[in-house]
Amino acid sequence: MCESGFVASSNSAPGTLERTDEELDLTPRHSLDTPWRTIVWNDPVNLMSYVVYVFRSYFGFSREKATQLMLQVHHEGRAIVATGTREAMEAHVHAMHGYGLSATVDRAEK
Amino acid sequence: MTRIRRSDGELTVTISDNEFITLSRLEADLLGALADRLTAVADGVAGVDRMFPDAYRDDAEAAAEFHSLTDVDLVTAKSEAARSVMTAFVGAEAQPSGSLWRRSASRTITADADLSLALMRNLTDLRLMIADRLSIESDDDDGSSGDTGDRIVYWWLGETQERLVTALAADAFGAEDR
Repeated sequence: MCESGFVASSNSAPGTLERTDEELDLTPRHSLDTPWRTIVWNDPVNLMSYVVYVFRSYFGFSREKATQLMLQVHHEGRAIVATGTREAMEAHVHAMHGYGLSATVDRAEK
Repeated sequence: MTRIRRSDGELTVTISDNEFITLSRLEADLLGALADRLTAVADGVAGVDRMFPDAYRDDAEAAAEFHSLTDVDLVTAKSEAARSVMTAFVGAEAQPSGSLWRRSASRTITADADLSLALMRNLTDLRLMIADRLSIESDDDDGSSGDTGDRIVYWWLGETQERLVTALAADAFGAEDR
């Protein structure tokens, strides 16, 4: 993800956020009803603030959760943002593509 | 420089005449690229494109099927966003600004929620388009090997996007964030 110059100095600079392993473990418990997941991938174009905005406004995540997921995408290259039916995950991916984010559907590992 | 102000839930965006000319060219390029995508989809030759990512990484068949189901819809949404942004700025009267000797003009639009969202998505699409021209492939690549004009435009679009997102986030989540 891309960090615009004037955001880097704002008080939401990523380095100041605390991260804990428990909070970052967003992998859902797998069950037969939720074998699919939506993954958002890092890309070099979209702004960090924009990705957080999309996660908050589209998924209704809190600022903390949206920021954690954004940082996970940024540092680890990808993050699981939703799990559920294939149809629901494809709708999420279509919406993410509409926002210009790179997202994929896949089957959760057993 | 583009100015974005927020008051009473309304967003105003002011761009200079030069920025308006640049934006008009970019939107024309974008609409052309989107039309090309439609043709490629119809001909079954649509390739990799940042604006149309694959929905399946390890399943080419499923990815192709998803493109066939969603690309037309994406092209429509992206084209409509580009057109509504252009319509708004074209409709905004050019106001003289600057000093007598350095006369220039600017255009101000008032954006409601729909237009703000369209502008935000549209700026994203324009940045994806320019990133392609600059061959930006990694986070630490600022396109410095590309064309200077494209780099300036890319920077301008990024700064404008940042300001817009900040303003929209304050509107949408201001109460929650306080």
